[in-house]
Amino acid sequence: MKLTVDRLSKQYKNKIAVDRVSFTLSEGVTGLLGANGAGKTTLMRMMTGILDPTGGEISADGVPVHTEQYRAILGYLPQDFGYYPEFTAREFVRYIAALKGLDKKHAKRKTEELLELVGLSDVADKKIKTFSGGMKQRVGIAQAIVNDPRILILDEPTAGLDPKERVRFRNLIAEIGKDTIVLFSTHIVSDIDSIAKSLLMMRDGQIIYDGAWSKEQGDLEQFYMEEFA
Amino acid sequence: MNQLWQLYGFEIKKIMKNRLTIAMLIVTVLFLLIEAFTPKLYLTEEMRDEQKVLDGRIIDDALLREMAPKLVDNGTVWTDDNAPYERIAEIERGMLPENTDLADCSAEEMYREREEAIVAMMKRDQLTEGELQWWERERAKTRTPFLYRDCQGTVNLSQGMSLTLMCIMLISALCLSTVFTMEHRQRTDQLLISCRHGRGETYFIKTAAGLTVVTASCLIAAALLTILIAVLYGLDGLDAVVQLELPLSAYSFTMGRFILIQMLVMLTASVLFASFAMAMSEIIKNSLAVMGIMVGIFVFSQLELIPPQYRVLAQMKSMLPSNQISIWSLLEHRLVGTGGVYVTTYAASPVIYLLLSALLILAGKIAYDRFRVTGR
Repeated sequence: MKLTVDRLSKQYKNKIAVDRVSFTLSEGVTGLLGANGAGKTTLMRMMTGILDPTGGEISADGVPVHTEQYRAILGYLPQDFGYYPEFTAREFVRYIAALKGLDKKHAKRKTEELLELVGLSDVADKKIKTFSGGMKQRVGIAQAIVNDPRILILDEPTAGLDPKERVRFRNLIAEIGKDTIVLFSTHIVSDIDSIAKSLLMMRDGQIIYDGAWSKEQGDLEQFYMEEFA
Repeated sequence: MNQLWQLYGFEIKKIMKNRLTIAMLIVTVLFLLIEAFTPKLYLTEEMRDEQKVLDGRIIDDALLREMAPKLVDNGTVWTDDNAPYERIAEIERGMLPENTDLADCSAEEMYREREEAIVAMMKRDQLTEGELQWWERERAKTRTPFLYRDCQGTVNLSQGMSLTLMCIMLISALCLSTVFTMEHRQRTDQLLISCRHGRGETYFIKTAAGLTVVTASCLIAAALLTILIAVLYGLDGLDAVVQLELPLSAYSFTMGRFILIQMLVMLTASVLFASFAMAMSEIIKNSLAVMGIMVGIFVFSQLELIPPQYRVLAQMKSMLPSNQISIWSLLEHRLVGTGGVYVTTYAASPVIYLLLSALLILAGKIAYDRFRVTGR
């Protein structure tokens, strides 16, 4: 599958948040690096169809972003992940599964599988409002992948996770990335340098780097600090 | 289809898990209990028995002559001796001009005065010639003299429905105004609309869930009130003419039919309340503002602000749910229609409420479809 972003722009009054960005993603993890305000979240919102671009197009194998067909293969974890405080983890993931079109039996099985995967099975019937930040984030991860998405968009997914959870999460994403297009935004280089097959770097709404990063090019962290500090 | 039913179940769960919903349902039950028991505090068993003494008597000259010597201060003082006539005197007073001597009036004069008062009231309300003719035919269906029936229970029931409607309005305003705003406030909106069914079906499923909660609350509240009133006072007098409660009404209804009509109008009003609360919650995305608007309209409906000469405005106000679900709506004679084809507001209101609900749901859908996540 190819996810194509073609001359994508987003302008808010006199501010250009994303400026004629073009790239193509295929299966594997792509890291999206950039400082705060670089336009990463705006770009990702447009790629999930929850924000309309001012110009340009997004499609997956020719299927436009605003269609149900596109949403059916999409998984999304927003930066500011919202939840229903009165729902339990199990209820929440089952609810999202229903929204994503999974039938009851499949949703039930998948929910149990994912809660196990993110280490929340023992608290599955506890209300999300009682969870720590890291646990909430793990619920967010579970809901994002409940439909086995072909395209997975993760906006700063490691925020709030402790170092141990970070490692576990990285491994999980690496596994998913084998047959899924994963776009993983972060401003922490260590989150992606070991799992990303390619990188996109954004500054002031523009892509300043698109491609794989090899050790011959030097230390990614150092490059990042020089470019974005 | 299967997952859409699942979603519907989850949306109902979301509304029912809101503490405000539970609180409002408890408050509604408490209000209904208070409403049902309050007349008991004012009406002793002896007084109830006295009201039943004349049950089944025709309010004619014979009854008025029998009552006349027992009237004290023109029927304003009631003792053990004359108490059974209290309701008869109230009905007579309701038909006659103020300060008329009740003892001096024959049944024929009383019913003539009633006719004249109804026509005067209709003219004050700017009824057209066509409407007056329509009511003339309608009035001919109400036979005089009236048959007196003890209908304390049915009157209590019809009065209790006004309170039920207010509770349903509050449930809608407080619990459904958050159906969409909560998604924006909690930032779950972005998850919803990025999901497969998030754009199209979800809006209608959320709306259906809200409508289910409110209409079910309405039906349960009406059933609870009916059972309470039936147990406490009985439901005698369902076949009594409504004129025993409001003598100047021109409707040819029995109390039973009036109560059924009120229940139907209340059910459609609950659909309107729910649609309004949910649609506005998506359009203006502020639940407090939605609550304010709904309570504001309710308060406005209770104020006497529009003189009858502004016919259209006055009629629109009288057709607001809180005015329709009231015993006083029996005095609303302005009809809906033109060119000789007329219907009463009881027939027009449910249709108007449902049409408005459909329009509101559509407006909410447009706002929902237009919504994009920006500027957070």
